[in-house]
Amino acid sequence: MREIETVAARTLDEALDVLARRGDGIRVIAGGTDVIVQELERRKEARALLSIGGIGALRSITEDGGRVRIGALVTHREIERSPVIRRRAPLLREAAFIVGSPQIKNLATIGGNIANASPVADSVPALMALEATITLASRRGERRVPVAEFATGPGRTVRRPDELITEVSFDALPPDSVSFYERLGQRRLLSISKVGVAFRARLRDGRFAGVAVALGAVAPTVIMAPRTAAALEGERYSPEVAGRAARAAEEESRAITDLRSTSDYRNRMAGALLVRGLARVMEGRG
Amino acid sequence: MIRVGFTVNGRSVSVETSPTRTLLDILREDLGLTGTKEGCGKGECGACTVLMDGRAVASCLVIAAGLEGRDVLTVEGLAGDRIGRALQDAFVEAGAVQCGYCIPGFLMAARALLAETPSPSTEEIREGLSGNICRCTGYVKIFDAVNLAARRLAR
Repeated sequence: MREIETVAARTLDEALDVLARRGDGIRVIAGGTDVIVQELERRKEARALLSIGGIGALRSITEDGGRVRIGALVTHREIERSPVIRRRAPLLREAAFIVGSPQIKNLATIGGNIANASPVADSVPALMALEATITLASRRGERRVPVAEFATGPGRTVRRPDELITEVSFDALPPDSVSFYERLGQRRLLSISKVGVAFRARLRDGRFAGVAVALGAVAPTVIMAPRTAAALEGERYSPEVAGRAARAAEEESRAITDLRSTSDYRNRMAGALLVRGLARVMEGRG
Repeated sequence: MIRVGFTVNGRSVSVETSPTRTLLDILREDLGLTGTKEGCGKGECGACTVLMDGRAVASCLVIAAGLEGRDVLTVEGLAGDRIGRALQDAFVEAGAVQCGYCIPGFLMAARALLAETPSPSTEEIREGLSGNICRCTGYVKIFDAVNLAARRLAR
């Protein structure tokens, strides 16, 4: 790779100082799985890099008072293996598992997956269905942004140049919850998602309550699917109910045609994956 | 240029290099450890797999700026490692090697897998090796080799 000036920060303070001084001219690199490939392919050409991989304080998963907090530098492999995530947010474990190979998951961080703002990111639909919040820190202080409001387009976000993602947090799913992340790719692992569907709801007297559905790879950003959620809210699970919700998901999808799939196929698959996921968690199939 | 110090196969090394030079290039060109191969150069084929702090990583996606203090194991270090030796023997016996280019990467991914999951199921072997591509042949004999090594190590 071509030589790029790189500043390695060892503490959050150091990183925020560097960003405050030269935020516009420096790109943050953590695991490197996106940044290095984008640089190699000349899709982005940073003037300088700020390497944050050495900041130990951003590496933990904690659960406190029902709130799960994941440091920005936690890797997908660590999320996949975390007992807290397995118990409190199984859909996020599924998304972290499927994001790539072990060699990628051991490097790629959750903060990086969010910051990259790809519409096909696997962790983001799961985080959106969890109604997760991102913490952005800068020398000016901290602010919190819902994951659903963070990306504004492919690769574009509301992050200001002097800000760093430090954490993503969400309320642990209550014990009566069901959730899943289903996605379709060319290969099961290590392929870019054609469509991803994240779902969570509580089951109250056998009826869905507090339904949230997020769709990946069907719009310029990951999107919430409120009409799909509404089609399930208050209903008992049946294949017919799932089918009605699937049609809503197909209508809410706004997929494009590209080298991986046609728009029509993607829109239909959003519905099909919803049906598949619901069958898996409600009937124990699949 | 920066100077980074890290460990390779138990030996401390210090190299002066560009901060954005990859671990793969440092291993092959600066340290002469050419067992680690470059395939795609962007993390998709697994030929460049090494262990960093015990975890399998694509060395083409690790840059010098993040290497300070890390502990790296490459295929050259496997002969001095119990799991590594068992894997090498099993790959030979199972006929898992054809042209051989992908094999160092497969061995390293398998080494990481068996260290974490000593008796993996077929599904776990498939997942553990999902980041490695072989273009000569299939994967059946490679999976057989990992299985054979795991069974021998369990004895």
